[in-house]
Amino acid sequence: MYTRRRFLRLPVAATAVGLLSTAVLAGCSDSSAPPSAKSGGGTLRYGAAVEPDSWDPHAASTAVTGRLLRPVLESLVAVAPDGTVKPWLAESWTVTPDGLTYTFTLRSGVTFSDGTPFDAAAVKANFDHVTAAKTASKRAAGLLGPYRDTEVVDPRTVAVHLTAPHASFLNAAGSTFLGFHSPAALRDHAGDLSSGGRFVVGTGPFTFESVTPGQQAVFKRRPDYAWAPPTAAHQGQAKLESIVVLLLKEDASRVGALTSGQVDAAELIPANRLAGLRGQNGVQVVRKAVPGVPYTYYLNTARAPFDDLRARQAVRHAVDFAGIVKGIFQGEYQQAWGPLAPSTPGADELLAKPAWEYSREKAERLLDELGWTGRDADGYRTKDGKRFTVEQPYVQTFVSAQNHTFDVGVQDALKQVGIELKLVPLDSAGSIGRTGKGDYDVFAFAWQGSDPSLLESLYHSTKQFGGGGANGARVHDAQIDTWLDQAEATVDAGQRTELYRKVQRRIVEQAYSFPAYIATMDVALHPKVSGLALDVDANTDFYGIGVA
Amino acid sequence: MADRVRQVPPWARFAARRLAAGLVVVWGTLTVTFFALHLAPGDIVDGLIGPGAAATPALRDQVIAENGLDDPLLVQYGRQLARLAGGGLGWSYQLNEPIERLLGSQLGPTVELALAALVTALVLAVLAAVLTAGRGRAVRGAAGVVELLMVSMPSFWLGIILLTVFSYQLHALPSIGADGPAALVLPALALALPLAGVLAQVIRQELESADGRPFVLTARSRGLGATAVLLRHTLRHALLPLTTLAGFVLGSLFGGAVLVENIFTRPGLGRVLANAVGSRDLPVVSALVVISSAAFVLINTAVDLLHPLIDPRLREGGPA
Repeated sequence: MYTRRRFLRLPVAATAVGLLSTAVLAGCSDSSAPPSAKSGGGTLRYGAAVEPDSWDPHAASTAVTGRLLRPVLESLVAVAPDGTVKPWLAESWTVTPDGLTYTFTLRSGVTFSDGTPFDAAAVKANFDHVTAAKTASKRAAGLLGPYRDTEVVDPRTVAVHLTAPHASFLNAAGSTFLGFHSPAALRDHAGDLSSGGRFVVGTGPFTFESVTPGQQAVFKRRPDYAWAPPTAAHQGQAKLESIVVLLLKEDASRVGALTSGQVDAAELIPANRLAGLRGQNGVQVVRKAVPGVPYTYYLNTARAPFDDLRARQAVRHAVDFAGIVKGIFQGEYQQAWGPLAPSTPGADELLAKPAWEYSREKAERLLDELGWTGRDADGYRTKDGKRFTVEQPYVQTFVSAQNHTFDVGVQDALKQVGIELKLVPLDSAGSIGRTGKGDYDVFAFAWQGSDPSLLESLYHSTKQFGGGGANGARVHDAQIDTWLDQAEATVDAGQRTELYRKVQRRIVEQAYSFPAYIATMDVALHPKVSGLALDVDANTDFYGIGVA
Repeated sequence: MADRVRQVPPWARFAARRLAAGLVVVWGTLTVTFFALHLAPGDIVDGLIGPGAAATPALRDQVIAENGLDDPLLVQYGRQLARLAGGGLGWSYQLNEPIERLLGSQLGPTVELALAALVTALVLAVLAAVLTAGRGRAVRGAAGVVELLMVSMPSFWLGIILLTVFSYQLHALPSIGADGPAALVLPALALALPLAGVLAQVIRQELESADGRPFVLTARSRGLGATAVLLRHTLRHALLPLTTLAGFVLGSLFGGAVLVENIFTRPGLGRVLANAVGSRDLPVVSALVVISSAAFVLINTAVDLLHPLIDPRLREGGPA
């Protein structure tokens, strides 16, 4: 899933696919004075790094919208840390052999916090809201995929019909982006959901009390909550009375607020601050490798010079990724080898180990073979009098300082073998314009997610920029397309995993892209905070947290 | 008719003329903003939707149709003018909510921050100038260095330093939010110090140039002490040029707020503007441009109206 803005600050998520714009938050603040962020009394003060672009997950594009609304909006199923799907608001489900119809039996006794019962009609109202043109969904509609309609069989049975098989639907159904608003809220306040606060009403263990854009969002415990998923650490009402999420976009503000005790926990701690934080006043760090696509360099395979496998291999051999990773992240992050981070369910375990070799000699030999044998006054390679120059556009506001340093490291490594890499700063719209036209040689970004079907958005020939995908390498590989299509069409989990494994190996063989490093989600917390765990997406699970 | 015109006091006629000219200024600013955002490379709809997988052709068409982005530029421009002329700010493209709601909760904190910073800057500047004007070379040199430092410090950096020292190290003041006066101290200082540096330089120069002027000699010859002359006459003389800096001050406060609000995690218009420009959210940018240029016009008009009150020489029929 796309991560934006400051989330990008963390190398993790970073970057760019030109992450759009700035996420202003929308919002209306309550007329009542916002509660002051005092400690104790079961209140957790949590420093979040990104502000949502919308508080309606059905419309939003920011990953943080899902992260912060998980305590309010719940889903049909829950995804366990190993990627398996467990019951939640749906007790059980069946899939037709053609993979086109998913029938869910809903749990009884579940209510929204406004008193409306959760039933099949509520599921239909929500999925129809996600796909309505008016919603202009930036993420949720993509998760629903080839959605046709939802059929209310009886109050506790609901059938979701698809127009094509979409094996990742079940995993997607566990996402907050397909979480359920109260049908009453959808009916009366569809135009207000993006503003957040009391307009957003769900079935979760917390209610959304208020939001002050640019400052904070406040959540209160719901006493009659009794339907936690089996993946949760406990049942019944939440341990915290309330959660005050402070929107601290600057890394320095977030870390400072934590060390000075103005927040109890803070997320997305930059790697270079971790060593200093650990143990300071008992501060602990809870971490988990971010699943999904690592920060990865995509080479434009649709035009010269990277339409030639040898040119791509040369670049891959030329860069000492291990050295750069160690230098920038001070040993906190690991080098990546595969298109999916090893913490992603379905990642090929072979690609957790070295998959190619750093060798300038091999890089130079390949470049000689390709005929780039001349040298110009600046020491760059030339062929027929033309310098070997490639361009990498990037969006300054979305690329974290660390990722930019990384890009400069790669630029320097390529210069050593005679390749000029130009880093071209653009604004978001400018970058999307260029990538949409395919006018670039190198593009880099990361993408958080917990399902191997991410690979489809990144490597399927129909998923180009602007066409509903982010195929950064502009890959048109019939073999990969076939495997990806088969994986979406099969309901057999083992077969699916095997197909995705083949895709991953082929991507590495063909050097379409090279991953740089695997970031971790680091949440730092004071000793009085207990039970903080990170879920399958490496997001903070607020339900299990207690404060002494 | 002629009688009625004569009944209108001159200051009101002046104000009306200035406000009419002000409308032209607001219109011009809006026009430049509109075309600048359209001329920047890249498509507005891309800025609105964002990157990657979100941008399906269907969604693109939907967003274009919803916001009328496929109409000719002049039609869009006319629609924008018509809506603003009607007093409506419209809807944010990107946030999908009415701009009145978006700005409503943000205007208060920015005004509060700007006023606090303005008062702080004025007090600091007057104090610094009065204490150092006409003193020995060492004192003035030192003051000059301090002022230059303050002027040169970006408020972003200054904000981080203030946070580190007073909030993170000394735990004296909160680093976040906009609740209560304590939370206002550090952001107001970060905004005020660079401004105070500029103002102090101007005031001291005025104070020093007044030395030896006839009105000072006259006052001294009436037996007034140096301090009394300074406070009653020279300072008043020195403050007048400051009012002409009102536009600069307003710009510096609003521009600084963009950075300061981000560092201190305060709600506010500066933050909204920065975000809206980044995503080319034209209706929001236009609304803020109209508000800020209107504020600029109003403040400058008010200052010009107040001039005669501060400076008797400018009063009609007053001493020349």
